[in-house]
Amino acid sequence: MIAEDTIRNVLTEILDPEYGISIVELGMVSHIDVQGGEVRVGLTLTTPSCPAGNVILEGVRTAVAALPGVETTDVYLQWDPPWTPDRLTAAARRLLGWET
Amino acid sequence: MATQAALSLGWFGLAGLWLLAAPLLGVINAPACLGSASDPRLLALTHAWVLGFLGSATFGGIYQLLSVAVGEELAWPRLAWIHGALHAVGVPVMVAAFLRGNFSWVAAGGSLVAVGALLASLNMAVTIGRARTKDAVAWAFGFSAFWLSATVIAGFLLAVNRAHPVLPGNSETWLKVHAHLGVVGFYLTLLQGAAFRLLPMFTLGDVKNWMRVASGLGHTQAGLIGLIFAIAEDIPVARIVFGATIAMGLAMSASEAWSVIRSRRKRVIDTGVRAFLSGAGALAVAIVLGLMLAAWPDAGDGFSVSGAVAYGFVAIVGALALAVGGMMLKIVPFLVWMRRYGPVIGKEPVPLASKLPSPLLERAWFELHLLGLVLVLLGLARSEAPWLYAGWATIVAASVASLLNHGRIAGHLWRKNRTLGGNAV
Repeated sequence: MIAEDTIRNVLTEILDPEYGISIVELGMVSHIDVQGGEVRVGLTLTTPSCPAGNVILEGVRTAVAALPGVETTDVYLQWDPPWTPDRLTAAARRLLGWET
Repeated sequence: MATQAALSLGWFGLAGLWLLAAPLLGVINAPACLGSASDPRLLALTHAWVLGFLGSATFGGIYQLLSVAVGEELAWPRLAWIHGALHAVGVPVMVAAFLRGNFSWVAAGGSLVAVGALLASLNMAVTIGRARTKDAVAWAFGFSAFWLSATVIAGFLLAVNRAHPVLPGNSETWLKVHAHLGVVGFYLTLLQGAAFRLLPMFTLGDVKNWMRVASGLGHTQAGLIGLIFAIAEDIPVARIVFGATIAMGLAMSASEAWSVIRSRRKRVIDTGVRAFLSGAGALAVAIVLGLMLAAWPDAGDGFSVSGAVAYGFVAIVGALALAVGGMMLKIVPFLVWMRRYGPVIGKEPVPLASKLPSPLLERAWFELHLLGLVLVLLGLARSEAPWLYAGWATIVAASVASLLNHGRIAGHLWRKNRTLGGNAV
């Protein structure tokens, strides 16, 4: 069975096009569930009106589906709980210019 | 989504052409800025900015942002393309006809622009009507659609009025009504709403007080209705009262926008956002000028004539051009990125949207544009044409920098090598 960390690692390579920070560091990955070859990924966006939402969603789907051992991929948007800045990692805060 | 991006990019391309043509017209007709506000050359210049640059860029933004702002797909995308064709043909006809003083052709070009704008209003209204939730941003889009219709109808009647009088009273009065419907009703109302979707997105900040956003919008709408009647009926006190009501509404919006900036998580304020904020500053100057003109309408011909031109210049080439130009710096790279690189995310390395523009060219546009504004205002204050020539030439240089920057961004649409700076999957 594919490890959750493997999924998370591949998602760290998907960057938000505006901020240049990975969607994992931005706290946009809410949930990862692996059952055999079935992978479900719950994503949230920094704002519901983010026009890049569909592109990011499709990118996650493509990247996860390309992993060996993945048979089906379900990527969905999850608004509850909504994204808050508390979800930014220390690395993301540093990249946004607030912490050194 | 890809088709919508192509539609908006088409509008922004049109805006780019006008961004160069409009200040060039300023250089050619600089002395006209020292004359009456109804001089046909000045009307040509005004429409080149308001319909040519600002109109094209704003519709490019609307057709992209409206659906994400209200959570509903644009009702009729095909209608938006038809609107684009009517606008692309109608505006140059209007501007050329103004320059020749041929008001029959102004009415002909204006009819195309008006039909396009009415189609846009309908498209916006139906899209907003279908939205399940309507917050202050959706209402702002709805109000601006209404004022857009009123503006183009008033403008069309003004053009017809030159050949066949159809409007009661003084045509100068109706010109003022038309100008305020367009600038305050359509553009400022739209910015009052769109700012609260765009600023949080570009700065990772929060809107803390939606009541203040709604209240700011309400004050502006109430003030505008009153101002239109006050101008039409020529009641100076009412002009000041309702002008101040609009100013209060805009101040509420500015205050909330500032709180979004203060709550930002992205520390660096980039040039696009700085230009937008500078536009808000220029708007404050325009409001002061407008209130002075309303308070002292008989302060002397020199003040009234130059003051009226300065008022329009600061509002249009200062506030609106900076705000809209600033937002273009953020939206165009994003649209190009979505269209060119969006389909390959997760498959191969792609550059970041924020790496497509040139920061140097962005700054050059912004700083040269500001310098040009100051020079033109000096020319108006001293009634000296050389300052006006210098000011408009500086704004042309700013536009060239902006076009080079946007050309560099648009070049990615045909670029094969997809890596640049950052990398997303």
